[in-house]
Amino acid sequence: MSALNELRALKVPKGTKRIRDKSDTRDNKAAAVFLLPWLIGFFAITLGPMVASLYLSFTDYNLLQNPNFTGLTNIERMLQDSDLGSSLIVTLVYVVISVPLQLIVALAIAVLLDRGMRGLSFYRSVLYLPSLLGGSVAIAVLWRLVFGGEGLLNAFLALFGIHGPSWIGSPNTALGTLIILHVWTFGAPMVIFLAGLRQIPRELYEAASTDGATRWRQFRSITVPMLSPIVFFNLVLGIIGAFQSFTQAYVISNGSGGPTNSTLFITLYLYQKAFGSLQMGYASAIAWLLLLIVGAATAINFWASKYWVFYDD
Amino acid sequence: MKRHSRMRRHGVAAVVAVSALLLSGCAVGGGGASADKGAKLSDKPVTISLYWWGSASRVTSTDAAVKLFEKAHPNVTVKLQSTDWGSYWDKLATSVAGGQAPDVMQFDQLYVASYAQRGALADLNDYSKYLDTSSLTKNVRDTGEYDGNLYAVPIGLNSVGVAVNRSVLDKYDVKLPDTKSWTWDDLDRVAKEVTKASDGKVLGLDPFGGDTPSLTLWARQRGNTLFNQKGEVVLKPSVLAGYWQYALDQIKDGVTPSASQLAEGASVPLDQSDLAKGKVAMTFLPSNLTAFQVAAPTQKLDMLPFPTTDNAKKGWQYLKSSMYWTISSKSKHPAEAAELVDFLTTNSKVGKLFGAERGTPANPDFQKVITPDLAGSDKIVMDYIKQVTAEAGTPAPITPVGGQDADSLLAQYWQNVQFGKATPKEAAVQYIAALKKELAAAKG
Repeated sequence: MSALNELRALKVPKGTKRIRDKSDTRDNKAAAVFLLPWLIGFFAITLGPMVASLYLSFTDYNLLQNPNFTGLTNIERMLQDSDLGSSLIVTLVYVVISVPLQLIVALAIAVLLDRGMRGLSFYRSVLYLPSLLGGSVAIAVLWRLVFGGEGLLNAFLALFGIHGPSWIGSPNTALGTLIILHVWTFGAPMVIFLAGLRQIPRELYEAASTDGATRWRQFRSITVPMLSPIVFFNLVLGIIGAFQSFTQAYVISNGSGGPTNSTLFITLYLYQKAFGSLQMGYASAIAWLLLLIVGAATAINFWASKYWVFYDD
Repeated sequence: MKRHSRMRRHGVAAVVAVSALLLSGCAVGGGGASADKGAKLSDKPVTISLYWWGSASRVTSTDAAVKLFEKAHPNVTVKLQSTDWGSYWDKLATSVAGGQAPDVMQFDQLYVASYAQRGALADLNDYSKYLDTSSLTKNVRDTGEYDGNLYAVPIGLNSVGVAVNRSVLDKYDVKLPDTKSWTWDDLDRVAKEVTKASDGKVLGLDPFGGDTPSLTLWARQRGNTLFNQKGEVVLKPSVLAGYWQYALDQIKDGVTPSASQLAEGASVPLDQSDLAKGKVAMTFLPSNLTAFQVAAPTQKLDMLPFPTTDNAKKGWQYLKSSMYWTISSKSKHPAEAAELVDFLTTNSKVGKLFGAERGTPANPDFQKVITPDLAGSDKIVMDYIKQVTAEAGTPAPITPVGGQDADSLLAQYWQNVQFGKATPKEAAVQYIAALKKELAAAKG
């Protein structure tokens, strides 16, 4: 449609403004039509349910009966809920440790790959693979096989005469295995880092090495600042993603968040409340708490970014 | 400026409109086809859905039973949907919430009251014309009732006992005492002997601690129970603390897997469980021995009674309904659904097809039908259930509204005990408080 209008517009001599205006509105209409699938998706699948869940978080909705408005009851309950407290701590520990660790690994590997080695695209694909699989049930099951009491890791340790515990069965190490799983899926930030590294002008390095800067010095004084917008981008996405982790903990603990709540992510807890306890109203309130926390973390991130992110323009 | 604000206003209006639509959509449709006591069979083609959980072997028998039903009722088509236990209740909750409840649903006692009280299940007395439950004994039939109405038809019966691997005992020459009414000390001794004789290669047993059926039996031996008939938590903290202390001592003695091994093993399928793999000699089991026997065909498995104490209250044993059939209160074809439930619980051909796979049949006629063909583990279980029936008292009441977390909470606090985060006494008080809170939250 729009292409036809363009053609028509070409035939009309210049200076006839009225007709061009008409085709403008037509273009807008065409754009709206093309945007429609996305708009419907946004309103029906994202915004609508969000508003609904905001309402539900002030009700006693149990999935089977109509919700009753209960005011601030759910919020009062949250303040006294020790399981919610421990799930918040578990989630925070997970985010604070796994996100920076993953970014460091991703950056280190990206820098190595950026050396212009042979078969780069092959390595890049192989290293990216865990990112595609990491969130899947299959990998979480594999993790059980690696970190179980009779898993691969303990079989390896046994070679040195070390008798390892069940890493996923001990409260002190279960979350650690999930953090390792998260770090292992460094592919997505790695690819973005790689692209970012390509954007850094080579002259900077040439000038620096003429001045006698070591490789480490070059990394610190050129690579890191030039890459800081990319680091920031990965950090924001990483934090938001880590707050929403669910599958790994669900599979490793079989949905219980155990042992002793040590893998009880807030997402897992709200899932238990919603579908196990049929307390969808309370679960909605927890979901909004999570949204507020993620929002606050992102806001802090943006505020802090002006102190360390360097924009080259 | 003007245009901008108008657009914003439009946007807000759209959001409100969309969310209003969604809000009305997510509420459960009230009213509608409420229990029509004069429900009639249709003579036009009718499709009803049947939702159930279970393993591969159950697929075959359920398929075959439904085929028989469709043959007998040519105008009815039954759509089968099944899933594993883990995701069963999540899916059911969402489909009921979305107004898409299946017509006939397999149910567990944990959820009967919660769904019945909230109006999701049909009162089956309304369809007694099509659904005959007269073959069930009163005790068994009562376990499907809530608030005086029948909402669920019991399919099978079970009772927690001790599954034992006799091949292991023979190998290490460990003798069992007379187990007809053996005590907790006896169990402890056998567990220690196995562990010692095998030099720790085979551990004595998988302890209990995280399942309400075994806790209920333990409490009933001491004149207590978990829930009373009114649906209140009446468990005494001292009883629960004793139950955990017993298992905790066994873990500390090293006659069971360690706490972390137990945590890891909590989620493995039956065929990889410690008993099936020959890593432990005994385990507590709700008398579904066949699944283990299939997983460990070379081992000689047997079912022993739940141990007791010398001064246990008479009638502490009881038969628990292993599962039920229910009908959705929103079913468009309740008469046909009732006929299907009737067929599945009274037709002797179905009895033969199901065997003891859904628990020892609750229908005594089914028990008679399958007894001659029983062999191996099925026969062991049937004999076990007969023994329990002879000693059984009034069944424990089903889990009250909002109590469906009773098991998962118990497992959670039991882990705190195992890992030393709480003493059995502290955890017992916490568990009872947490469970009471859940019940209160459901009452609203």
